[in-house]
Amino acid sequence: MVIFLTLPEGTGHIDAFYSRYGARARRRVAEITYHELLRRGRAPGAAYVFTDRERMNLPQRRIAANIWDQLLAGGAAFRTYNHPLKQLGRFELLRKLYDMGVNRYNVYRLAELPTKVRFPVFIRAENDHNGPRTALVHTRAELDQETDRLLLHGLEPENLLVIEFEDTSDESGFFHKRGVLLAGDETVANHIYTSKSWIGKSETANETLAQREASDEFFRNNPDAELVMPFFELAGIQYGRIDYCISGGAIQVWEINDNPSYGGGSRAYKDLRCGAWMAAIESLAEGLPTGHGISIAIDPPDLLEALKH
Amino acid sequence: LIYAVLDFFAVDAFCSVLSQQFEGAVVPVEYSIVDESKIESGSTVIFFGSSLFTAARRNLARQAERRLLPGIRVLNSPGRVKPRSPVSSARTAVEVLRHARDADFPLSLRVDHPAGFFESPALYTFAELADTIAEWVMASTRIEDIWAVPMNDFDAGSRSKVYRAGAEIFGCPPQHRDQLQLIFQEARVDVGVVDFAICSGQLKLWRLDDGPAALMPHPEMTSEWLHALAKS
Repeated sequence: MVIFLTLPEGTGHIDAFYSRYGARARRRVAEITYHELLRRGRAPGAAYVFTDRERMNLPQRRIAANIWDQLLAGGAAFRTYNHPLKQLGRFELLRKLYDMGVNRYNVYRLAELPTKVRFPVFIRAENDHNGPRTALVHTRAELDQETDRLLLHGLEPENLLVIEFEDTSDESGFFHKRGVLLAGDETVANHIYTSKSWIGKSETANETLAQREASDEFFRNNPDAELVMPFFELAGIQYGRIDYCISGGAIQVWEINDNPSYGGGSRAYKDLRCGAWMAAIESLAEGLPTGHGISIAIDPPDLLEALKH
Repeated sequence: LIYAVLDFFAVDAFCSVLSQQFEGAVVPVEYSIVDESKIESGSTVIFFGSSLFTAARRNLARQAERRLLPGIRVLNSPGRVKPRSPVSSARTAVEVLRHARDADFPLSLRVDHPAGFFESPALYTFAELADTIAEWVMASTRIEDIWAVPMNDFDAGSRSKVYRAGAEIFGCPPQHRDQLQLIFQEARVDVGVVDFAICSGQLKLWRLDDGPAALMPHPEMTSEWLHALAKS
């Protein structure tokens, strides 16, 4: 069995997908929130995927890591993926890739924003997958105004990232965002979203038939598996989807989402891929022996330690 | 027309639960998208939940208030409402965990947020307390927002609510009217709710809330509530 652990904000991705495409597999794949697991106080033997690291604050990651340790101590019937304290967050990953010379664009936290930034930029939250919170911003004054708007909205300043815009459009003005799913040792080349919009979400894709066929070919041939694997390893992620593009002959990484949605795209898009997705997800529990469940609880001293600033 | 300026977390709840009661009279607006130029002179703007804002967010809300056109009545002005402090017997959840031996059980955990408020049932042991805190943190409640209040200070059965809408106060026991009025005045809250209990004849404050809960008086009170706001 594979169990996905999520925060309340991240629920539904696996559930929605399996309700539509994998009803027969429901006993083999489940989704539960971390707090529901604690409330139940018992964990069955299974492969556990820790998701939503980016949505978590430090105390949450420490508590999740404590659950990780308890599961691993449960014996051979337990397996775990995506250690919540060993993964790189969005900021750490993008900064590292810039420092390594992989990404051509830099990323800043608000508090460390230098006087000179390469405009245009956009703002996004570090702890969600809602995409950019602003349009492209071209001046410092505009950036200050947008920041104020987001703070008034209630976003925490420490969660806001200012990201330099990297234009990866082709000569026809199309952006081609690629996505590859990793599940343990399996990779699935999800898609190439082609869009006139730099945002590159499935909702903004407005591709031609030829571009759609290119996306399907990408899925069938899985050409980038070797290219993207080092980035998953660098980020400490064994389950997730990397979003990137190839521009000027080089990869530009946008993010790795450890709780990707399977909901976007057309029905034909999903029908073609659903078998591969399910096979990859279920491979996470391959060879796992059955075993008894264990009790799960956070001891008060451990909790206190986790809550330390 | 009344414009209710709300935390974005509260807007959906407001629209789904309360829109019928207030339809045509109250317009919900998110803090970040207040378009001052579209709020007409002669209308009322109520800012909700600003007592729990960070200093930076409060300052931005103040600036939004200053940009309002002349002739607009402002209630719960972010420039006036005092930062909300917990009731005197409340301690942070972390503090209670740290000093477990001194903990005064039964306790109730409570969370105050600009979008709303929730609390736990009575917790009788240290293990129950720790379990609830761990669950709440993993349910994305910030630990800084969790407070522990000893239940012995209150008789849970006798807790009541009093609503203030401008000059009027609803649901107030006559003998404590002045005291409750003073609580609202000192907090500089024009539209709000006070949760209180009478213990041995003494009024004990459980919560003073300028969040959207203040917009949720009993349905029977809605028209009176709106009338009171219009008068104030």
